[in-house]
Amino acid sequence: MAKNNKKIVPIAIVCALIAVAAVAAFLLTRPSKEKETISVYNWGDYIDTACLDLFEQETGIEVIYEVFETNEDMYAKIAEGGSSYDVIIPSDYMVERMIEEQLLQKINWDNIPNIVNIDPRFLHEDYDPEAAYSVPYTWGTMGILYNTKRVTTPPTSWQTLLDPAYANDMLMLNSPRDTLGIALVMCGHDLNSTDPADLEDAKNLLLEQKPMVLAYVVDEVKDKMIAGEASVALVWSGDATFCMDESDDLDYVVPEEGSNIFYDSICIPANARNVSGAEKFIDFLCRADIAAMNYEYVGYAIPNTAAIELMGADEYNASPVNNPPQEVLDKCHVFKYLGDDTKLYDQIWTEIISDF
Amino acid sequence: MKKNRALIVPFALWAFLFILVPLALIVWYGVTVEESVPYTEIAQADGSVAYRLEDGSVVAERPWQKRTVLSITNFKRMLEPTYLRLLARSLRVALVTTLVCLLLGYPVSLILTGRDFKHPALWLMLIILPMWMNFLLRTYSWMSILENSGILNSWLAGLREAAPAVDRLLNRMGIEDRVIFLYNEKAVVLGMVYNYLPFMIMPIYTVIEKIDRSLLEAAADLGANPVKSFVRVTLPYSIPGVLEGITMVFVPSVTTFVVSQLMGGGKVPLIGDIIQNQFGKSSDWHFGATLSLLVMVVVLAFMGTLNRVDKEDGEEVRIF
Repeated sequence: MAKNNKKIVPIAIVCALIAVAAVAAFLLTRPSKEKETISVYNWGDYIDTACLDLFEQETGIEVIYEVFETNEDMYAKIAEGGSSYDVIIPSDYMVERMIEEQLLQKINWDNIPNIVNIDPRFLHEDYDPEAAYSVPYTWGTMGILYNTKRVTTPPTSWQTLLDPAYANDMLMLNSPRDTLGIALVMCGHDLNSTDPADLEDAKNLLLEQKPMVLAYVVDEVKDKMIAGEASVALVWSGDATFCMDESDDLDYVVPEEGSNIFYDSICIPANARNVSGAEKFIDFLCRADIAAMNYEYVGYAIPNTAAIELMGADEYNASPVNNPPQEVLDKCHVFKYLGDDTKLYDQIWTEIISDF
Repeated sequence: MKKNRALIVPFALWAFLFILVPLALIVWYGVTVEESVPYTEIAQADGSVAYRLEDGSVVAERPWQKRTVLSITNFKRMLEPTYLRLLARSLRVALVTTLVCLLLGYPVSLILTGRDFKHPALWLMLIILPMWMNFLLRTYSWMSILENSGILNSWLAGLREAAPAVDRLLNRMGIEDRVIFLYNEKAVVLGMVYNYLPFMIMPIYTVIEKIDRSLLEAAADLGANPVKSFVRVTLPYSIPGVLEGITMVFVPSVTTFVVSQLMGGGKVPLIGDIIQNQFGKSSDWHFGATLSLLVMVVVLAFMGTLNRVDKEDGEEVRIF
């Protein structure tokens, strides 16, 4: 018994030390009370962190910066109401959902003078028709990334993804909404369709394509395309930029039938603590030099005309990722929030990939 | 001893908070669904639309609220052929993985415990060493070996170039320029066997090592040849280790995900991948929980069966 007691003492000491360290860490990392702060919730690796320091220097407002991995993670945290953020950057369909569920507040444009830098054609999108709740931060498309050494005639149509010449040489996205959305476009349907007949068409098309698909991938697509694992792939434009920076043999096209266009937008949650600080930060992000800095770092196309001019419009527009032809862009649409119909997509997707 | 009963409190608390509560949550999520609040549209006199809720109240904006209700919808969905086939495939892949692990692991354990074998501890260490690395890293290594643009294929290409005879032979055998090793069920099994093999070797090794050597000597003295003494002594005594190894490999195999996504290129989804999708991309935690319950029942049934075999063996050591 005595022996046992002897062992308990060091264990107790260790426990006490851990407790002290935890309390100390908690106290030390808590923001000091005197300083004004805003808390920003953004995608991982989606801002040049030097901007945060600059903002702090210029305004004296300290930025508490946190990141999320998916819109759904972010949504869950905001919707449960326990935590309060001042600035968040959700994607289009999530903005739509959060407006509907009254989780966002309207932005007072008088306090965002730099909004004039944003190209008006990117405002008033379907997810925020009155352009009242969101400021577009970046945008992108879905398209075909192809290896110029093996694909000699540049693809112009989604039919490339049904071409037997690329059997076992194409990669598709393992993502129900994106891949089914493109399949709907290929069938000539609306990419937000929830009509079971339309989705049946899309499903049959993908089942027909399946034997030719080398793999359904998500993030691995970048490594694989750079290494030359496949000749064509369905990708998001942001991944295309990354791959084209790494390899000279790759090029990107948004097919002529149209595609998905997506926006990540800056918003203020309804329960924000420091609205004026949030407005200052949004205005700061819309400033030409800051938007240019973030473009260089993040690599997604930006809606900020002033920043594009600052960087040199010719160079920026030369990239097929940043500047798809206007007539193609006109045929690109955002994904809408589908509510309960999300399940339908998931069900159909599971049927496709588990078909064997 | 009574004094020490207090020591169980931390564990009991731990078990309650981190085992029982999450389990209850999974069950709760599994038997419920989230649904939109039902409403009917009613046209107003001024042409606008209002919405009447179930309790009779009328609101101007379209109701978006969700509510959680008890429902067996997800259990019905779970029993659709799509998901049952997925479960069947997961079980098949897990069984094959376990069998391959056993066929590889048992001889390895036997060799390691052999009397003439030097430095078994060192070899055991080498077997366990890769497990110090993250399994994702190890899986990615396999991918870069087996990919179309991978190491193995580039060696093959080099060999074809260096020796035209080999090239002709391979062509005659119908092997194309690039052999697709990845993106099929075999690749998934390979990835799983590689990850789980040490879990098979360890328990078998431990049990065989503890077998009293004088038993084997006695068997030899009484005229048994090595094969017979293996069948009559080593094998029966090692069964508990084998059963433990099977459990340690089979249970994680059934619930595997990521490895199947990476090695199978998304073309060989297992039930674990689908569950992960529910909690991620599709964000339907309720259905994810229902599928988890299904897998838990299957694993429990399996463990129960194994346990029974184990007990029967315990009473009478020999099985032959």
